[in-house]
Amino acid sequence: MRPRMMREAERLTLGVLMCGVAALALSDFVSPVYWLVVALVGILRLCWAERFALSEMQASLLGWAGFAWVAVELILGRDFLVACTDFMLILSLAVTVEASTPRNHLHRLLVGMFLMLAAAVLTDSVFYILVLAAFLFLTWRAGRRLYGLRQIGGDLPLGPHKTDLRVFAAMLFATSLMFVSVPRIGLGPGAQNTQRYLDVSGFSDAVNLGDFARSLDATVVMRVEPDVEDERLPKAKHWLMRHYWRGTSLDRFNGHGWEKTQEIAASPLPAMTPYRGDTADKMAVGVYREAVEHSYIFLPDNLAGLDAIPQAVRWMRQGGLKFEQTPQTRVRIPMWLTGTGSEWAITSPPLPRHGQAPASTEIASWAQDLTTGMSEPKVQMRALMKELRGWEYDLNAEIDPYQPIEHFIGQKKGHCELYASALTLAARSLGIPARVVNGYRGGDWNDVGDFLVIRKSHAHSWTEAWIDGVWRRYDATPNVLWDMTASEPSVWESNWEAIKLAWYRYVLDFTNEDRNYLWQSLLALMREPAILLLLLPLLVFAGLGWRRFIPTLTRPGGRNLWPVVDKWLARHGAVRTTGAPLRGLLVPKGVDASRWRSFVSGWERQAYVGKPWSRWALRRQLRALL
Amino acid sequence: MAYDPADLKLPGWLLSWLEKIIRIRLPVRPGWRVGLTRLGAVFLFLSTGVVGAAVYSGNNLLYLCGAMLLAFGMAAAGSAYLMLRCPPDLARIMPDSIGAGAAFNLRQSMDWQPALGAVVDVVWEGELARISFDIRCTMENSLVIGQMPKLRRGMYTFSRQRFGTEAPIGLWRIERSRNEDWQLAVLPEPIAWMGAGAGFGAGQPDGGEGDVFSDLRAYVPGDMPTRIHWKKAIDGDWAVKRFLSSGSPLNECLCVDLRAQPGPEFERLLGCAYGWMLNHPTLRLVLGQEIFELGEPAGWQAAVMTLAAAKPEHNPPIESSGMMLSVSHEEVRRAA
Repeated sequence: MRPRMMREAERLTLGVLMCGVAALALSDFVSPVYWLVVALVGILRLCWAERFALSEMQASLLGWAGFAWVAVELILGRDFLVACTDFMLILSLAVTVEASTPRNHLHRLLVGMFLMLAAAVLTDSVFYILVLAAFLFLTWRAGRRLYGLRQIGGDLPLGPHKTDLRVFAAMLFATSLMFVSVPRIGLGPGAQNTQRYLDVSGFSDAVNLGDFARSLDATVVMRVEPDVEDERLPKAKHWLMRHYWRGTSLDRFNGHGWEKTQEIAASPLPAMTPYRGDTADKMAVGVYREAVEHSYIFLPDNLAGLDAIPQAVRWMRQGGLKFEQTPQTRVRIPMWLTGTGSEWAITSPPLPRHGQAPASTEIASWAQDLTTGMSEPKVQMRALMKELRGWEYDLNAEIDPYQPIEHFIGQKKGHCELYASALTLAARSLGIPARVVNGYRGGDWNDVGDFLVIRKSHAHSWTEAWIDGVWRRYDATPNVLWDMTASEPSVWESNWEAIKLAWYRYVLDFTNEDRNYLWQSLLALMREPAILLLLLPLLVFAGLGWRRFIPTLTRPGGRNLWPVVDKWLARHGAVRTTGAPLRGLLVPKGVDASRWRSFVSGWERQAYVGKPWSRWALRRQLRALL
Repeated sequence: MAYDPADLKLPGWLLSWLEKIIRIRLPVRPGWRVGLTRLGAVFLFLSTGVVGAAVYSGNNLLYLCGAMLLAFGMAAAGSAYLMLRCPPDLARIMPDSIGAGAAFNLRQSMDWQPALGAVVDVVWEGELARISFDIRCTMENSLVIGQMPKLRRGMYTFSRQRFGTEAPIGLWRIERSRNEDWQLAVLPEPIAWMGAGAGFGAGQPDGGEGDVFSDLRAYVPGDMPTRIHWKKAIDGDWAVKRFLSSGSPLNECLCVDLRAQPGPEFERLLGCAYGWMLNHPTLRLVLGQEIFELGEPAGWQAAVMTLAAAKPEHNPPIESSGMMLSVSHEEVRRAA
């Protein structure tokens, strides 16, 4: 093997392997130390390929040592999934440093492939598509390089990238076509794109006052994409920006926080029939729930229907909806919302503890003072809210761990949890069943992709009170909160979020319905005469391009022109036996001898040394003979 | 190919299964067959596994990987198909004639340039023989490399071509058959029976120095010793060779009498005739019942083909106006 060919093979197979490592590095389950070591060793191999190599036996020992190390990791309590990725990366390290041999090339290709497949399960990053494309191109070129080695007559040169890029473009097109064409079957729940659970406080069974609000940041927990016509987008934006997304309800106050009492599954399920169609007062949205550690599905307050929830769920008597098993993947939940008011009213009657009076008489007397002379629960609640909304919103307000609400009432400043808790306890002291609900409100509107981004910082608490046989929402937090949480994402961030949602929507979450919709849209498009008129020149152009593309894969030198010549000779009284050269034939009838000799010379020249004639050129030459 | 799964120290039973798989050739359209290489078999299993995992899990990234692998395999097969779709016109670069019993190395460049490097193996079959060789294709040119088998004298027609390649990746074995006729004249070994490089009568107004003579006459003192027929002289019959002059009509033609038994003598007869043809490419040849004007390309070609296919006959030559060559001719006997 010539050194240059050897270096090419070495680099290309190493590139394939590094693509696998890069794909796996996108996963949340991979320890950065491991993939960084492999990447570093890969760079060293690229720079000093000959000097920085282990023998096959040494590399094999390294692989076995890695196996032992991972076993120790498991014994020490490392997560199984993480240990598996550790082992795969140690294996790829061994293959990276192994001396370059035909077997090593195969090892690299196979390990690179397996890393790509593992990454398909362990990540859902949008960067995966870039790594996959690089993997495809490098594997193709590496395959060609390895095929060309040790061939008859010596190694075949690899040639420039130009032709490979054309094949690569064709492969990408075929991949896209197959991806959207193949029916999705999904026989089992198997290998979905697993994510690490996102830690979101405030939705556990017990929440201490103050914890919820202080751990908020810009991490995205949900994206809501309206599925409406363009002209209705402003209205959809208006609807969604005002929405409360209800998560969990907490009903027992323990003095320093809230707890959830035993959940009781609702039976029968609330009537939420799927609603289809985009009408003036209803709209469909796709809710993309990140893999958060709790199992709640956040429900908007004017929910009209749910459809095709991908996993088993359980309705709670308290008005919540939970997954039976918390998904470790991003989940898309189609919903239908109404803009005319709440179609979905939680009517499960309150439990006795919802009316439990506060332990503190200070809260009761504060509530009594504010509602003196009022008997209607609605009026009482409004009075309490009016008072609370005049207070100061302060996310960093001091909290007394022993008497948090009393302290809050005293200093008249705090965050939403304190406002909701104070209102709930005050309502209970007035005999109105009430509870605290944690969820989200509002969000950032992405103008690039026209969807709503809900972040951790949009978490919110409010009160629900049982009045007139229905749980009614009362939000006592001053409106200044929305000014504080409103953010203006940068253009780069908006674009990036839009790309990610497109990736989730059209790749990770591509379904049979999408496929059918795509084909139907294409068919509908083809029925439009104007589109057809537009497509016709495009098709002609594409056809010409194809004819231009094909000869690059098979040059015209191999075209058999003899049938054209033989047919012409037969018409002019000459017969050529198969295999006989033109030079040996008699001059055909009606043809000048000198012209014939000139033609034969030209024919031989094009056949052996010159640019081969096309059929058209040959026919032109033959016509010129007469 | 430098990456054969046989390098992977696979268990014997697996390799034997791979061997069975790669022997399978599936007809995909008339004249076209497709099979797998060892690597292709591994690739196919891998692709099937990925697609199966995608179908089972519904994971769209696995669908994407499966689609990518299928596109990869299709690109490899498609490239090979496009390469063999327009195979080279081999008949025009193959030799028209070769010598009987002689090894003939093929090493002929041609203007067939698939865009991707490839090695295409070719088998060309006829009723009587088959030849196989390789075409090594690069971006610059293509080179036919191979060796013709040693063939006996005759006229061979090769008609069935079978191209096969594993290019450009080594996953698939694509084969294509087609009919293209190529006639190969396997000629007898030429025997230079007129002396080294001497033309018959050419430049020898007084006769030549070679072994070809037209007649004998009795020895006359003063004759040159080189003209004496020494073999006869040993027998006591002193004779001197008489050579033809350039103006003699015998100079213009050679009549080969094909009345003979098949065997070495007959082959030598033809060898002598061929040797004469090579030295006199513009004269006239009577070969049994056929007459050829060697000066005309068609005549030369026909003469060569007839000579290659010549069989013993029962009739004398159709013409006897020139020099006669037959098995009984001493030169032929001596050569035999």
